Amino acid sequence: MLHRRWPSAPRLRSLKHSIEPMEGDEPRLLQESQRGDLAAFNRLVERYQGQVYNLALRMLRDPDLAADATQEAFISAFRAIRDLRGTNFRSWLLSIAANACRDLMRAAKARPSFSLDALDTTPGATPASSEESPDDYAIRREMGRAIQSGLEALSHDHRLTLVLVDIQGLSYEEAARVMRCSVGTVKSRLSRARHHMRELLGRRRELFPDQFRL
Amino acid sequence: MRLLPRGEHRRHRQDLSAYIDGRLETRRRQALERHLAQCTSCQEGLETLRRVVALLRRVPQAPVPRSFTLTSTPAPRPSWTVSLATPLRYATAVAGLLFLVVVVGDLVAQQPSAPAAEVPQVQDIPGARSLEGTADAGAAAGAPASQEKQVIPEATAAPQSLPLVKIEKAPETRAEAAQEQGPPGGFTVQNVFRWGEIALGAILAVLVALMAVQWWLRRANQPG
Repeated sequence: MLHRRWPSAPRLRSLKHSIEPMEGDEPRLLQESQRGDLAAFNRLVERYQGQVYNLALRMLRDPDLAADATQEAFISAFRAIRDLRGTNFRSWLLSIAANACRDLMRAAKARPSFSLDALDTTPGATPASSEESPDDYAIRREMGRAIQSGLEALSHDHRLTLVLVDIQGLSYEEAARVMRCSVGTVKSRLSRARHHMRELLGRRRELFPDQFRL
Repeated sequence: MRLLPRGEHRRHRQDLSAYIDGRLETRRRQALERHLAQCTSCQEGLETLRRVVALLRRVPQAPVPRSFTLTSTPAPRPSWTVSLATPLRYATAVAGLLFLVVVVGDLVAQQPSAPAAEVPQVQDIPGARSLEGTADAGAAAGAPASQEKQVIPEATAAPQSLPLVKIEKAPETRAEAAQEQGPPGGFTVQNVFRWGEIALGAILAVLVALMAVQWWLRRANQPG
């Protein structure tokens, strides 16, 4: 039963054994979901669907497959939520999502045919900020494409590690729980993935603003 | 800058990523910082790696294309279809491989020894005479005289075709041969292969049936 009170997020990040805190009513929502309350579970879905979908999108590179994987992950999570004991919900959910992505990847043999437009924050719409010129928006969009191309060049494990830690913001420990490996493995995979990305992005340095130019 | 062994330099570069995240243990962090104070190449490497990390952390999140909330309670999936899927797959593959090995082994084990040719008895060959008891024949053949009878047909004018020669085995040899083959249905090489084929074939059939049921149940329980 998830009845512990979690400290606030900034303090916890300094702990070595970081168990990421749950927001406000999340323990209650989890308890109710474990009792079969679909409405409570859907509140959790709304809270985490963005993270799950983006993880799937970075891994599968195809928006339709990513949507399938996301839906499958939430269905599997609802079926299995009664078995959740004392584990961080987010890492547990992302672990299910990572497995769903792997299964779909095997089944569909995902090809790099997806539209990079899916990664635009506002595809085809006005720039995100009124202070951002169309040129800046175009450059930002190209940067996103370059980054995604770099991700696609990584192996599955390296890509997953980079997405979880650097893009999704998980800690080493959370990423280790998601990938069911040791923190040391996360550390070494992350190091190789970052160095590889640096080499790949270094070939497109003209896209990056000065502060990010490699 | 003093020249470092290549391995040590590579290790410092590998530590840069954990150093950026503050996840390097104290001793290695201090060693890296001492190295960075002297190595401009690694300083540049650290700076570019920081920029890569900063860039990745600013990657925008794509908006979700739709809501993924569940509209109805999913039907519970029979647990064994999930938990046994992978073990079933591996077990079927192993059983299939073993079955193949046993079948091939059986085929190889059945390679001839060619059966002895059927020849007429000594008394059936016209003009033939037995050399049994002839000391010269036994010595000339170089075989134990008590073990074999050699039959050499006498030359006759009429027949053109050569009569067949039969080498009869003494009873002791027959008994030895029978003992080698063993009693019918007993522990012989051929029987081992045969029973192995039957057992593995049965196991394989059961596993394939289980996989078919599991596959059908998973498809039946898939949403939509």
